[in-house]
Amino acid sequence: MIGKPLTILLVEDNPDHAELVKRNLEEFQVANHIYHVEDGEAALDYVYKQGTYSDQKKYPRPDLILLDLRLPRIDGLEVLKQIKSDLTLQAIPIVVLTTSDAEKDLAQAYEYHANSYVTKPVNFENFSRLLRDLGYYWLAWNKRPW
Amino acid sequence: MTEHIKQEGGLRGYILQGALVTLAILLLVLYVYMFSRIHQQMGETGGIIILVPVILSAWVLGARGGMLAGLIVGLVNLLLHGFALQYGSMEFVSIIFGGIIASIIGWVTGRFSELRISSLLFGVDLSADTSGQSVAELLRKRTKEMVAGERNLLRTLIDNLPDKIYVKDDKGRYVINNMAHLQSVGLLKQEDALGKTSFDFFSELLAKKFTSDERNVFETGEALLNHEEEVLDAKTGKLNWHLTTKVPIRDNHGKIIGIVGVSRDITERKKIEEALKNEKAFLDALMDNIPDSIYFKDRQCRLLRTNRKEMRDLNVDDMSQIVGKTDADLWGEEFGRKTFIDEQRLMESGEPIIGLVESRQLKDGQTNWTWTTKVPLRDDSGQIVGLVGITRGINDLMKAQQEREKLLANLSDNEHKFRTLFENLTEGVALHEMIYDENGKAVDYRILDINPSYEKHTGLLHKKAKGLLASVLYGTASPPYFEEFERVARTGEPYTFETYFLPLERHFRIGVVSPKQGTFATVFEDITERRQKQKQLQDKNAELERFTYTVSHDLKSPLITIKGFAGALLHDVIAGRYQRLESDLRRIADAADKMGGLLGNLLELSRIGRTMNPPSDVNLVELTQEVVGLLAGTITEHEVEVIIQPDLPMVYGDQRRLAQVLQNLIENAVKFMGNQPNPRIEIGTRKDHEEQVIYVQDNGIGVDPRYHETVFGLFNKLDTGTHGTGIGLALVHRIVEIHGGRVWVESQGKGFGTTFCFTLSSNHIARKDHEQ
Repeated sequence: MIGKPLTILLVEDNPDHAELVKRNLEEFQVANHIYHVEDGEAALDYVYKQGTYSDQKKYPRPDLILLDLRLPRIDGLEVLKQIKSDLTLQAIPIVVLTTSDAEKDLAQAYEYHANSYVTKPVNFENFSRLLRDLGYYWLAWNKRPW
Repeated sequence: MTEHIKQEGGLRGYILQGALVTLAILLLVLYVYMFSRIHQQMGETGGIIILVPVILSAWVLGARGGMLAGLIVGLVNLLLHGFALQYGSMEFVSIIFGGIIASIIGWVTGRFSELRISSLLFGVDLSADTSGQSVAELLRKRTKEMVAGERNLLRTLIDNLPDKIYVKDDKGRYVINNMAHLQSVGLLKQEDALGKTSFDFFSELLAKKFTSDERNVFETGEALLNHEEEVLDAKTGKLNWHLTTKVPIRDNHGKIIGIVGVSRDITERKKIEEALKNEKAFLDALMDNIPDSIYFKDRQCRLLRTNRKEMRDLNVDDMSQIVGKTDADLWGEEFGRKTFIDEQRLMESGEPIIGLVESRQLKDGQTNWTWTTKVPLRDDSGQIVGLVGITRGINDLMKAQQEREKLLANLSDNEHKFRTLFENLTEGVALHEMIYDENGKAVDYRILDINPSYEKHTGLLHKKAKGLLASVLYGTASPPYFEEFERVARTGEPYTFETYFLPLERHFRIGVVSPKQGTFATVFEDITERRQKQKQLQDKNAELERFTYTVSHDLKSPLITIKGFAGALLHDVIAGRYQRLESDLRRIADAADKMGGLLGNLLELSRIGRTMNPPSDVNLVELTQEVVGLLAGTITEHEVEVIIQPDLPMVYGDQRRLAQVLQNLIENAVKFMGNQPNPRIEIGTRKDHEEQVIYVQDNGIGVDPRYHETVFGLFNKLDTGTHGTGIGLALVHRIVEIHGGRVWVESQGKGFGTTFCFTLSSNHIARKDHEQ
């Protein structure tokens, strides 16, 4: 594989979906570490190294965040907005990965400086291909400052 | 002059008279002596007796008569005696002597008698200057003097009369002119006029006329009496009016020898008469040409005089046809009775009737409206003797007035309609006038009138607001909406806008119209409620949108799971890997179950809005016990203590739905009990500001205040670790909402337990409870 494997933060409340994402990413060996949180609050705690996630060794800064929008406690868009408005965090690429294809969500996400917006394909093949391509893009093609 | 004579001869007259009387007595004594001597032998006294007629004659006829009587007596005596010849010469002498004596006695007595007569008749004492003059002469002279005196007297008399008096002879020549006449023709002395004729003094025309008049008198012998004629005054040059009488003068034989004329200047009288005539003409013109009826009545209300208008109204040609009649005769009983009473009262009290409006029925059936003024008539002594009235026909006026009244009634009817509308309009209406400064720039506006709705909407009272300046009333630096109002008041173009009026914290829709320049009316519609409804609708729409979104998302989610794992499964099977087969299949089955559950819940949620069970009285204590009974399994499993307060109220509502609310809340409480060692749930009620609040309180994990709002959102779950679709609280929210209440959560945060509270609208709290 080209480049250093990625540390990915997966923010996904649906455990089944998380399993599908993880399984695909692992299969294509895109990520060496996938950290999964189930709600927006946990996602923010992770990036701000708060609470459970204060151990920086155990929970490193992600190279990429896969963010679902509909989340318990704190909404995905809110999480996006907070990270992107924080100077120390805004460099982290965030790919919105959601079931919603509502235009409102799409527009809002880009307004909050999402780096990419993809909807979860219902078809398994497409789902797999999306994750594979996504992984390759961020891993092989995209240059990172760190 | 008469007086003078009397005085001059006073004393002498008496002495002469005394002497004459003495002489007469002496002669009488002598005569009696001699006679007695002569007649001694005869023995008779006849000689004395015969003196009686002599004295009587003298007394009556005067001196001459007395002397004549004496001579006659003497002569008769002589003849009687002489023819008898029985006397001697002595006797004869005696008889002659006797006769002479008788004559003397007669003369004396006569003279004496004359004196008496003259003094009696003329007051002239003839005895004055008797020297050398006979009494007859004196008398003649005296008579002449008397005639002269009388003429003088007459002259004086006529000269001093103001009337012009003149006498003309048969040739028309002036014989006598009095002073007034002389002066009138410009002369001073009688002599200047003598022999002159009318032609010398008057114009030819006038003189001819006079002459002709006078000739007529001459010829007919008839006097010209009180003839009025116009004469030019020679002195003043003015035309004067004369009243002339010309009477013929006749001599002893009845022949007309002249005329006497008396002429009086009646110019003044003529003038007055003329003035009177003019006055009368004016009055008549006034009376007859005035369009009003004028009439005079006597004390008994009988018509004395009236004018042409009244006659026309009565349809008579001759006033005599109606004079003496009363109103009852002329206008009918009813009207006559009324005016009689009025007029009698007027004449008794002297109070005039001014401007009385009456109506009377004419013969053609039309009503005749009149305006009448009557005032009393008084005689010189001030007694009321009648009345004068003036009556004007005012039919047109009355008609106009009636139309005006009708119009006014209409107007006031419109006004009334407008008022009613104004008072009852649900919109607040206010009338304003613009206030301009000295440069004509609008600076403020004044409230003229506001309706009750305005009061209601704004809370401003009519009596307080009326007449106030807007800036004062609303307490704002510049009057509210001044720019908009000013524009409408100026241009007259109506304008409508919606606004939030901060001082009253209400939304208003304000329509502005200008009935006339400088004024404007505002129609306020309080749209706060509409705005709220709009807001609610917007909220509902947003909710619906969220719902759709949520539904599409949450239904898609298990689908992705199913397809995803199905695909992975297929992959594994083809690759001959079977270790994840079972778990993947379970995931698929679970996702399908979840989808089924979601669909069921959605159906339930949608049903809440559409289908409601008929409301009934619900005993919340019993209902709660029932619900707790249903959940007995979970409650026992989690060893939760459940307390139901006995003061839970009676409510009125959908029993099944309310049970659902309680079930969801109790279930929720059990579910989020956490690791609480003494789990406890209390269902009770409390009063918050007169509001009945029902609560379900637990001592479980609590809810972070950040999520107090979102917990009620559809499919919102705070904890992914717990089971459930996230529809329970959304359902509770919906049911409570339908019952007109609110639902909220109270919690100090994690670990402090949670209290879910809800209210129901007052008409869902049963009366039974209030009575308790």
